[in-house]
Amino acid sequence: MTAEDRDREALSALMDGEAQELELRRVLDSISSDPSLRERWRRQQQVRERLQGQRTHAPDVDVSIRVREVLDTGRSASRNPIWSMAVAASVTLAVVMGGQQLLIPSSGIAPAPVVSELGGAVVPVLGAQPVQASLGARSLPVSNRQTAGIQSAGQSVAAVYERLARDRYHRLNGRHAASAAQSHPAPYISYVRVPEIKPEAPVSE
Amino acid sequence: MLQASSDVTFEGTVLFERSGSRQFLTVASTAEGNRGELRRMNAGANPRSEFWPIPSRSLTRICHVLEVYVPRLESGRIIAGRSTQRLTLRPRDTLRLTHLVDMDQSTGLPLAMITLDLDGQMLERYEYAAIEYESVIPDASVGNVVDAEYKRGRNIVPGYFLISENPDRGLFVVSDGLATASVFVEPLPAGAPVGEGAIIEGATLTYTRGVRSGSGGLLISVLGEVPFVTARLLADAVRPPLEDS
Repeated sequence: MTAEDRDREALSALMDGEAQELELRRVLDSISSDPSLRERWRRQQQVRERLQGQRTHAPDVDVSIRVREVLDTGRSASRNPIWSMAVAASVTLAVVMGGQQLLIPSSGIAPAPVVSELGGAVVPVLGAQPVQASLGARSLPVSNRQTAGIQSAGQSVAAVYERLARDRYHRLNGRHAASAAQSHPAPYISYVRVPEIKPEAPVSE
Repeated sequence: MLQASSDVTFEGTVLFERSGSRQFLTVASTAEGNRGELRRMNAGANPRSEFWPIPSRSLTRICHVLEVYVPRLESGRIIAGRSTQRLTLRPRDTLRLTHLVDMDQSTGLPLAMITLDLDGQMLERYEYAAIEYESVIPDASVGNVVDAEYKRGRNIVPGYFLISENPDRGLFVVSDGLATASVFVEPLPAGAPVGEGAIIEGATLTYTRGVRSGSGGLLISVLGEVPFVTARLLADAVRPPLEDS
């Protein structure tokens, strides 16, 4: 396998959200020195989005620079390979979505299977760098009473998760309202969002 | 504005709209106790009273909001017979929504509010049709603002801090001082495949993600008045108990 083949393979892994951090850094190095590889990344990104029915990102947006910045300024990743994958996926996701106002997720970025048991904790998401909003841009809305279709595993999976999301909305919104009321300028609005609920105590520590 | 509900007592009629539906409400806060009263006037005959907590005042929270939103203040319209000022809270990044708040010029109480998505589309709104003030709580000056109950924990995604958690029950709540998201973790229902999905009702997004794990599988649900990308990042942030951050 030639170095060019390896670069192309690494690029595919990156596009699929499967690149480890070291691989990600290596392909970014190659991209910075190889205009043809850089162009290939852009083309693949556009083709993938078209296949997924998404709006195409502006072709002159160079994501690689932002990805590198995020990697260079962020903490070093844990040795846990799962954690590394989560970092890479998050970096790409945050930079691409942040820059492009994309609300519908890309099926090319696999969900990070990072949880192994109930409970646990939430931890800071490395690389999720905020970027300047471009509020005038059009985005694909997750419209009212509609499902944001996640097509990564087909229509049936999307249907299952639409039902799960709707069920969890009805089951859990009461608890969420109690917490959201603490921050909303009009606290009662959080309760009005839930049909006829009995307010619950916020989640206690 | 963020703490005006704590500073004045009032009674009013409110219109709340989202997802093509509307509710008429009577809302009242009282000087006694720390809760207000709410009745949904078109939900049924003789609607029962529901109660809502009046949050504690917090100057710190206001500062945190200004870290992640760009405020703009301008002259507002007349609402419920009162002069207002329009406060636009525009997010500094794409991880939160835009809020347009019409505040009573005298009391700071938000008499109307519109929440917009990243595309500028309205997700939900409320507006007072009428309001009567009863009194102003005397110690409402900035110098007397206390941070009794507003404490933020570690930063989970940019601008969103952990404000409450119960790891044993798989519950986590984050906030940027204005928007809130709740994260729930539970076993994946039997037969459910790995995947993800989302629905949105008004400004409230519900995002679910099923993942496989050594013990079978987990379902992560994120509910919040946040954009899709934020919910997804919050689901990314869930880790097992013994994993170092």
